[in-house]
Amino acid sequence: MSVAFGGFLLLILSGMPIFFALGVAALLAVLLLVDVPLTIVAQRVYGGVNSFSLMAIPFFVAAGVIMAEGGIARRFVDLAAALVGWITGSLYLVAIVTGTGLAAISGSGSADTAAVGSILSPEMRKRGYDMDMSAAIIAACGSLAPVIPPSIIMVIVAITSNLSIGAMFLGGVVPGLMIALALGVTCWAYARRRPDGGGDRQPFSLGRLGRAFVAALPGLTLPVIVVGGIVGGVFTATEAACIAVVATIVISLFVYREIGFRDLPRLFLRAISLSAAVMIIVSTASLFSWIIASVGAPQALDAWIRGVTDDPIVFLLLVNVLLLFVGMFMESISAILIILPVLMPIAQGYGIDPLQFGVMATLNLSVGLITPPYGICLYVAAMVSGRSVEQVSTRVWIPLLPMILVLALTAYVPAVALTLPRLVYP
Amino acid sequence: QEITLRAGHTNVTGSIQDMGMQRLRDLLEEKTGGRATIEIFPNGQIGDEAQLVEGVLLGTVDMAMTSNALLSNVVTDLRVLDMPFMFESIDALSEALEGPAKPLMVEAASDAGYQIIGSYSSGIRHMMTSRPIETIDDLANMKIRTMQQPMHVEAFRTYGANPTPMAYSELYGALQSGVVDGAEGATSDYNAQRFYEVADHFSLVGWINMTAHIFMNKAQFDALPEDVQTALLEAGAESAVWQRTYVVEQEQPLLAELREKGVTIVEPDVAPFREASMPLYERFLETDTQRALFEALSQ
Amino acid sequence: MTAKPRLDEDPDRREAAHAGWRRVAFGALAILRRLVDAILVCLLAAMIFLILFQILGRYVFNYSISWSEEAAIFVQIWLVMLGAGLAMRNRNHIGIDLVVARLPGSLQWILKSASFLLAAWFLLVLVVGSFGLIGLGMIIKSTALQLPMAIPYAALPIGMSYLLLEFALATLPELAPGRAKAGAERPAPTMGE
Ligand code: NA
Ligand code: NA
Repeated sequence: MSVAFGGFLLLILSGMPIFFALGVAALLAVLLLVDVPLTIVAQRVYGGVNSFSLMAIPFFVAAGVIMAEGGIARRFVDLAAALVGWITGSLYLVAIVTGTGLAAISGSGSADTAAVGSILSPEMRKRGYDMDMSAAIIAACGSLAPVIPPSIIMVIVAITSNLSIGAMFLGGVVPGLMIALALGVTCWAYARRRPDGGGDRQPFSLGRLGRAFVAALPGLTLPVIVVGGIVGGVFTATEAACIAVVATIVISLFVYREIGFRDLPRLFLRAISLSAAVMIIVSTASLFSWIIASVGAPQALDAWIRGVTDDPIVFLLLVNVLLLFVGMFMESISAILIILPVLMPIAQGYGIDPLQFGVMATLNLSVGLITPPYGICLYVAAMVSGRSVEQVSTRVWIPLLPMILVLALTAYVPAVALTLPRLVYP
Repeated sequence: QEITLRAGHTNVTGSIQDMGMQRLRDLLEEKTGGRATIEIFPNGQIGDEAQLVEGVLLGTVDMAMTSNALLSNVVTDLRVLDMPFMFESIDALSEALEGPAKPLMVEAASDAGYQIIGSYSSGIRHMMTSRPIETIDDLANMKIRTMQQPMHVEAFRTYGANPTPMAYSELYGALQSGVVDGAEGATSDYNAQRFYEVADHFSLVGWINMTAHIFMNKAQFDALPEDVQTALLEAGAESAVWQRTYVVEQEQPLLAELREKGVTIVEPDVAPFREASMPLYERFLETDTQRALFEALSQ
Repeated sequence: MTAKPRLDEDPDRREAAHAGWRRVAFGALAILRRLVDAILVCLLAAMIFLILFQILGRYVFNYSISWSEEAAIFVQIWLVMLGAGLAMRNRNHIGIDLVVARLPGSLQWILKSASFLLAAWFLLVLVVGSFGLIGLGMIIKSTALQLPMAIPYAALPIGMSYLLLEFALATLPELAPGRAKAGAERPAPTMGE
């Protein structure tokens, strides 16, 4: 285990792309620790992308890329500016509102980050926002996706822990909205103290709002189609992602007419390049988690925790620190599949409600989506903002603080996660 | 310990299947005086079913337990086991598996490079729907999620439904939002995955009686000391008998539990379903071995 | 000791021959890249159409095809494996240069060379390992389409070989003698193209 994690850390610091670092570290561990043919490398790398749910990533990235160039994004920004442009730090707030809305459509943090980022970061740059702060906020908005339902991570948590998926979903609503609110307040406070760009505000005008609304109307049908389609039972989340691509193409090509058919291959290639860079990481992470599970790390963890404490408060603290640490380095779905089955029985032994524990773990690993060195939302946000991961990492603590505050509340105040699901599933 | 076999499966820790595997391990240790044991990796920790089926041949895992459906992607003769209404009950399935069909199955598997250690039950599959299925006509135009198996899709088309193949991971959401009107599945899955929250009618059609095999790489098995081979096969058979009995014993209490949770249990007339399934046998049993196996299993 | 250089060692001629080879090599590379791009665009389009047909089939034709999802996943696998090379060409792959950029040039050169060799080794293991998988994939058929699994598995050796090529093209010039310093200023990741 230390071979894999240590190797991974060293390799990352050597500047190697992250998917290589995961792969090489896992390969070294396979050679040193287990007696298994090296075909396992090919098998797991293939298995990592052999997943239907992952398909939402290229779709939502493509929709985002086309939205950004096809005129939809610009009109969204105009409307948002007319709506909340009079508040200090308006574009941060627009990003948070958009991120929360998208989170209610999609279950994938990286796809949401790509969508919010490709719509808003060009405008943020134009208006002189601090791009590192912008990328950090955009990453945080994307990390809301697994917390606010629907959520791929929650489905996996529910299935591995034998919990109600519906109850899990509802459990995420309140913590998710609390994070959005806390992020908004943080950004407003930040923008007041750092008025360059982030402090921008424009006078409110009802006429301008009306004009912006009419101009943005075709694009506004998009969330209606996607959300309405999922809620109304017309299609699944992955299918909705596909519909989003088709709808953006139709609106950009035939309604706004800002791009033509000949622009599509170029935009497709951009979307493929961006999403392949993310999905190949899922691939090598799948090899990495295989070696972690193979050497019996979950069982060792179980023994260790039981030896350390018998106090539920200390246990929760320990678990949160552990998950935050794991979330720094590991892809969240693998982390859940490997670690949650170990922690859940221990938590129940301490009398902690499994639903609350599941929501807390989801929240924690969602925070992991923006923590360096490996956080997929952080990476996507950095990429679409044209900044490096380390540059964005210097600002990422700003959205992290409110998120960890909400995480602590969810861990220690059961009502935060449990009130809503208890109302519906008494 | 001299021999440790690494075994993978995709069922949740503590599920009936997992308990069966643990029993297999205990029996093996007992019979070999602790010389051989099994290290179990549940939850798909070391691979999904397709990866496990291939991994046993590639040598990346020593032993696996997967559904018959996945194993029969390689050992195509075993598809017979998944035909609709093959076995009336799990007891009938047990009898058939231990009867004259057994050598045929073992041989078909070993031709493909596998040694079957034992065959578990993964339950009888019924229908979970938003409206009750009292007769076969109630399925007309209902969107029913099926596995992405041509035979499953055809079967539901024959029953008059609109079969909608879809990933298992999307099913809960699809039932909840009404993308599909129902699905088919075993009682234990219906309960464990909480599908009753989103499809509260459970019609006991019993259209497929599903098997899950424990298997190893044939060459690797043959290379084991002879007494360990014997112990493994004995432990496999004994744990399978225990596991199948346990599945049968669990069924009624599980249905009672579901009733208490507000599920409407429907008992439709299955004869029309059985009759509608017959043409599928003609269509999907293609090879001589498949027909021979079918004969042996029907005895 | 001032022997005349032999004809084939004449530096001018060698330079000319070298340039000729370079032109051919870069021409071939350009064609390969166009081919990869064209395939990738078709793959994404196919993925969109497959899922769209799945939805239309369900509602418009009241008839679902059993293989659209499986086909879309196979397309996704090819998209990611080939797309990884495109992402390398566009420098979209995510890495952390923070530490290595602060090291002295010679140490940087050693680290970068070592990580290049390690990563290339990983890709080679991946490519070689995929042959075993493809061998199996000749026998095993996919569940819904009944296609040989070798078809999706072939994405591994082909995609990863292309990735290795783009990886070498992106890295080796930085490691060439006298370029160790310049290598430190890798461009920040951009939106591609
Ligand atoms: Na979400
Ligand atoms: Na992280």
